[in-house]
Amino acid sequence: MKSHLPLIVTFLLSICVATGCSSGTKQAVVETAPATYQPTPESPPADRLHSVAAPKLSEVEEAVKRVFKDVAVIHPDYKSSFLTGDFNGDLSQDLAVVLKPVPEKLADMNEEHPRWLLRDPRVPHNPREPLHVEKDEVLLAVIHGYGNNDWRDPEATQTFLLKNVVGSGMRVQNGTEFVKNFRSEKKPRPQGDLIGETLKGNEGYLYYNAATYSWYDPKTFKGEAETPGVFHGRSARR
Amino acid sequence: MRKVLPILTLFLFVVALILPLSSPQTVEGQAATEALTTDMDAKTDDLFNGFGALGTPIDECVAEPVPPTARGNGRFEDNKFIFSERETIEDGLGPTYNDVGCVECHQSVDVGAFGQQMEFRAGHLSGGAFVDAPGGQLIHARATDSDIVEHISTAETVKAFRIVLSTLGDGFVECLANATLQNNVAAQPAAQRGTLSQVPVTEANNTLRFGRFGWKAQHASLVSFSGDAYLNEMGITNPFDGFGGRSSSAPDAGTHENPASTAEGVIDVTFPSPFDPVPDPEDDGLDVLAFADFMAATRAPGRQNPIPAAATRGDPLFTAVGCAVCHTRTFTTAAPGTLINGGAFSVPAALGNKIIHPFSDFALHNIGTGDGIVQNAGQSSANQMRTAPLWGIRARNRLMHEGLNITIFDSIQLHAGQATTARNNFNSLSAGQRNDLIAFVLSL
Repeated sequence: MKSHLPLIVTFLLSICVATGCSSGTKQAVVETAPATYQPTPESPPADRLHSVAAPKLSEVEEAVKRVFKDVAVIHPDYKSSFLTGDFNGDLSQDLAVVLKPVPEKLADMNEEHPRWLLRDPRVPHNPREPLHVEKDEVLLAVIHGYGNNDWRDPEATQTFLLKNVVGSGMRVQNGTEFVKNFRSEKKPRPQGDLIGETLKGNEGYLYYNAATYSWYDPKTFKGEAETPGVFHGRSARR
Repeated sequence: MRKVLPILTLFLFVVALILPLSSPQTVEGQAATEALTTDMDAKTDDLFNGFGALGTPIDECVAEPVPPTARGNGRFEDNKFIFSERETIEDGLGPTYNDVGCVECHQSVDVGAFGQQMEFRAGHLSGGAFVDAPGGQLIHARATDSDIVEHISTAETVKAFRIVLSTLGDGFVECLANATLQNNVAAQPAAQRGTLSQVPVTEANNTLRFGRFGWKAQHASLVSFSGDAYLNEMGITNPFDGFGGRSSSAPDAGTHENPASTAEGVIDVTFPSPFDPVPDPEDDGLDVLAFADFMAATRAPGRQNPIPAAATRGDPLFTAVGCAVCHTRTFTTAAPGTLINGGAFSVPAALGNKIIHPFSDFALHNIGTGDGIVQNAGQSSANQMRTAPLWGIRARNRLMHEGLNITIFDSIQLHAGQATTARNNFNSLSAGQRNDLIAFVLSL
């Protein structure tokens, strides 16, 4: 037994040394605290909208071609076929332009996943009843601005293609002034500028809110549509 | 024997050195493994990921559920039961609230997942800055008394609905280290780079951590998130209701019931007002721990099975067009034993070193859909939203933060701002490729 004593002592010491060494790896690691983080500036300067030049026909044609390629063109029967304003309220100038489909390309306009969002602002959007563009239909395309060049930017392609909203006397109504001055108990809450016009004899406004364009007729407006899934019926979506 | 002894001693010394090093207790350096996933089918009993004990389904006629007393020391089935309980006025429900229990909203397709319910937030601009509506930005949909049902005035011009998010797999998200999120964002192109918000962890004396839960990434820990939801969604005050996602800008917000914003003005409804019969805190915090541990113990949403051929074709397109820049495919959670949440939680083995596929960077971005609401990430976050995690998205059909979009296609087209390039790249695909990419998203 005496002769085994050094062996036993060495073995026990070895375990102690080895265990002591490895215990360091079991110490709790604490996650690094957040370092000060500088996000990328992304908001355009507030005065950008004041320096936007008037649109030229060639620029409008280029924007239409960028989105619609050869399936739709500027409607030749409308003298004032385009307007600019910040319709979606993102401080970038947007373009609204009256279009007609190219008859031979009607099938392309009605493909399942086009490069735009087809909507009828006068009726609630129902995805189960997809809309279609008809031959010779008069459409209003709103191309949202992006980047340094607003709707002229090569990347400005987010587009709503609107049915049944091209009337007469189309003009831009400043959104802030509309909210401030329009005296009505029930009025919509536009995110940006509105398009005022006379549609089928009724004066009204086209406006953007809750990710879509809607039609506001002051005589018949009863509040904005109910949001699906809301707990209890508040009349407004935003 | 004299010659053998030194050799034997040396051999034993080497063995003694190797033995502890080969012990399974040492976790650093272990290869990460895929996190367990659920098949997103309520008929399958596959939610438990191994964090804590499983327990047995609760039958109240036999025994009441027992909540944990500290994170991880309870049982999953007990916590699931508590998560699914309906609160009453005697429990502290209200006086203003949105619903009567966690599972009322987080239910489809399985306990903890999605719901179609919305919460409503409102405020106004003052000098260009967002200001909460009087009584707090969260306008509750329900109340226990008609006198205090909340209404806002027309002066509150900034309004937003937010749809319910899934909590499945959130335990893995909680265990993502700050550095992991920060490194991911730092690698994003400047034009698409996200903003990580630093938010207080209530259970760690409001230590800051990168937010990751909620539409504004307003919470960093599941206890903070649960405590906030217990107060703000159910009206039950608790030790963890804190300041993280507070619904009021009052300095002492979170320490008592939310005041009610009514047509007659802001009404204090907290105990001992006639509207609230229960002293604060109405919960001792154990329910909050049960909620947090239930969510932490759920598996991550798994992919559609089998994966359709179109989805397989769309898989590389998702990355090619740039979706994956913000909808980050893969993260690995921190190693087991890592102290997170300001030191309040040690990453357990079931959640540590796990590979997850949330399809989110958990950062805030401006993609043109911002709701104008500011919570705890400063005024610059008004029009930013957290990248929605896409895991499990096939189980919901109301998309984006307001739930107003029904199709993946519409949702893609509504991406603007920092997501413009990705949307344009999507639109440059052929019709077949666009279908494939949508099929891929719907397989998540």
